[in-house]
Amino acid sequence: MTNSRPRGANFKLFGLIVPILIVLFVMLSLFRAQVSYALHTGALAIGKLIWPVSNIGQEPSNVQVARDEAIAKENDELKRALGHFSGNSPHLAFVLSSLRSSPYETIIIDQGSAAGVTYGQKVNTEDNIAFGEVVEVYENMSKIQLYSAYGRELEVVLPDGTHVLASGAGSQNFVLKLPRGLVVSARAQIMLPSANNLILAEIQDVKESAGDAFQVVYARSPANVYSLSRVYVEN
Amino acid sequence: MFTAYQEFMWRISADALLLVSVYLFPWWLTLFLLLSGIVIFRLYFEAVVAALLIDLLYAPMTSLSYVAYRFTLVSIVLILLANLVVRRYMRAYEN
Repeated sequence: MTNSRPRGANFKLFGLIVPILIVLFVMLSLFRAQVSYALHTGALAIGKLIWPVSNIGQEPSNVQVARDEAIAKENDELKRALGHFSGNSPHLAFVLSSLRSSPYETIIIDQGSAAGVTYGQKVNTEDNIAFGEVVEVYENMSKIQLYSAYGRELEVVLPDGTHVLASGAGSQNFVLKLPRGLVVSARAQIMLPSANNLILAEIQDVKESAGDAFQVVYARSPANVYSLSRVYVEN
Repeated sequence: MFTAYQEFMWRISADALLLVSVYLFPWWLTLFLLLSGIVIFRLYFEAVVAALLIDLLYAPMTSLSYVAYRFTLVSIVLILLANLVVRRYMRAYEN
């Protein structure tokens, strides 16, 4: 077998790629925020072509308004009744990219800064189960990260009113490491510290081992986030 | 073996499928396509673009750290490994 390509060709390529990567790394370090924003905007612009992003919040053309006046009016009334884009709390948003597409436990919704969505707002299901928080806001889209994202910690309230820390364990699961004397029972609900009585998870199992000062509580969100198409953003 | 034109067409088709999968398919399927592309095609830099899109779209960029770009970094390492190490020592990969 003869091979026309010299054996050292890969190392020539290596010598070409490595300096390019070093230059890119330095450029990214210097202009990280600007580059990150530009890349995000570009990636979401492609997403707007693929996902069914609503144009609510943008100025509609006169022709479009004239053509669809009756339907648009009815649609607006219905959306206002649901609290969608009206400033009421909470307001409706549709899920563009579900949890299936994201390896980072995030979803993308069709409401952004134009609809009054801001960083840190809580996101609930129709059944008032809190499952995530707004972590990025764009004009017509927002990114929601689940509370159960691996390694994420948040303050929760036990049924007896005790405030404790819960850690996200991925796939809508939570782990709580509590002092052994604290009484917790399976099927009890864990709430978020909020005036709206938002349910976060349901305790599935409590494990105690002899000689350990702590008990480990395993909890799971009662909502199936994978099948959600509508969510509500708390103001 | 494929001709250069056939390989080009396969590559373009794979690119289109990969791009659509980033936005619409489950992430594990996108990952499978991405890894397959790296194994099948020589210097499949489109995998870096796809991985960058995954990071940009789905990673919560609250800290702007390089850890947030983990798919991109891993794909770069895999492409370099596949082309500089594996292909050098595995004769079956030589085109």
